[in-house]
Amino acid sequence: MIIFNPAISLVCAFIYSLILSFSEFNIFYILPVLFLMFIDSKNILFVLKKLLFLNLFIFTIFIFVWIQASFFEAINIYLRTNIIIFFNLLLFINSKGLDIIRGFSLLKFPKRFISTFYFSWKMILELQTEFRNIKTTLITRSFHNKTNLFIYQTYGNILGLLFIKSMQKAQNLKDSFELRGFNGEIFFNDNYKFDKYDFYLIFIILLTLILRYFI
Amino acid sequence: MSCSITLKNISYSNKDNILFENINLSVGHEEKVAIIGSNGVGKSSLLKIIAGIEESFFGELYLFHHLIKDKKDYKKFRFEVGYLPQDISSFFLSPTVIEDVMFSLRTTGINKDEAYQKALEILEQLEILHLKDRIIYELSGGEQKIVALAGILITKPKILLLDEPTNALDEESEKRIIKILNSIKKSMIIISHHKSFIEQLTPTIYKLENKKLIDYK
Repeated sequence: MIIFNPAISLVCAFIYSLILSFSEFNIFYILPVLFLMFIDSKNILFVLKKLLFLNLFIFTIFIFVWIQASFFEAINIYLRTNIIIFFNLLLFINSKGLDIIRGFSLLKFPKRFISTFYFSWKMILELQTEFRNIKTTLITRSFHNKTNLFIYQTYGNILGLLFIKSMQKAQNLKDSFELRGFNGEIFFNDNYKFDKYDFYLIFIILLTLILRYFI
Repeated sequence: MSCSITLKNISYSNKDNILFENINLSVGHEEKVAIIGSNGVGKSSLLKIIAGIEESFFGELYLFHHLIKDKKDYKKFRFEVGYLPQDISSFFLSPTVIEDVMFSLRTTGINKDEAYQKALEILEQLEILHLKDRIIYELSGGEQKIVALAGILITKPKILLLDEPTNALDEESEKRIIKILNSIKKSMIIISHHKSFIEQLTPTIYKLENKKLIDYK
């Protein structure tokens, strides 16, 4: 499993997405995608499945643009959107979310931004765990999906429960801030080094950038 | 014996329900005191009052003979008091073990290398050095409790407030916690349901019952 330096991943993702967003589609834009597919071939199927799911939305846009503008414009937007998402999925597929926050920290983003991002990630993680626990409870208590008022009430209760849990978690977190002297800054102990794959990634993004201006 | 904590006529109500009233308690230097009681009698609320995160109470709270009127008064004693909450999932403010243990030092302005060294020392002392680079949320409940304890102990507090430190832990983890707590020479208030656990830590046990704190024999 290859994990790129998070700061480099973020910068490359940003540059690649930006140049592709403001350009006409060209075949050389596939180069970074091919590179990522080559070095992490195990995840291709998994990423493609995710991309296929996202295409439900992208395809709708494609249809609308086709009707409103032209087929050429629609296909251009469709391909670029897919490639940008595919590239980003491949780049961050092995990330647990934390790497992205570490990336922002390495890039010296404001402390408040990083701590807000970190605590949002933490809250999502905790709510995911709560949701999983509730799902397990539903299974163990013989809950079956049907179309009746009771089921909708149960879903309403689950949402309410998640809301209350998140309020409690937020209160506990506030107490922890106070107890532990939090002053808006999260400290990471990062000691990332540049790997050969990081250099390859930078090289391929630079190459794409050069090709974009010279072809 | 000088008192680290003194409570005088502390009363506390939760909405319309009076949880306890006129509680008096003194905890001496390096004295360990345990409080037991049924669910919902207000043990955790009492500990939160002493920890300075619950302000809506009546009575007087003294820390090292200083009267604490509000959170502002509490501020200068913040690192003298270490509080381990019952639910530690929100206690951690950093992703990995070493980063979280270092947190309290770095937030006071201690540089990264010094904080790192001190964190390593405390992890070694608590025999969890092998966990230093692990993501906290991937650890077991027992390991998380010890990491939280390390995060508290690193600031060298004079008072420890522990709310159910062995809650939902297995026998092995409980033994580890007992060993650690017995090796620490600090003033402590420990709340627990487990009488056998408490008895291995201190002979001074109180029971919160019928809104009063009574000696438990």
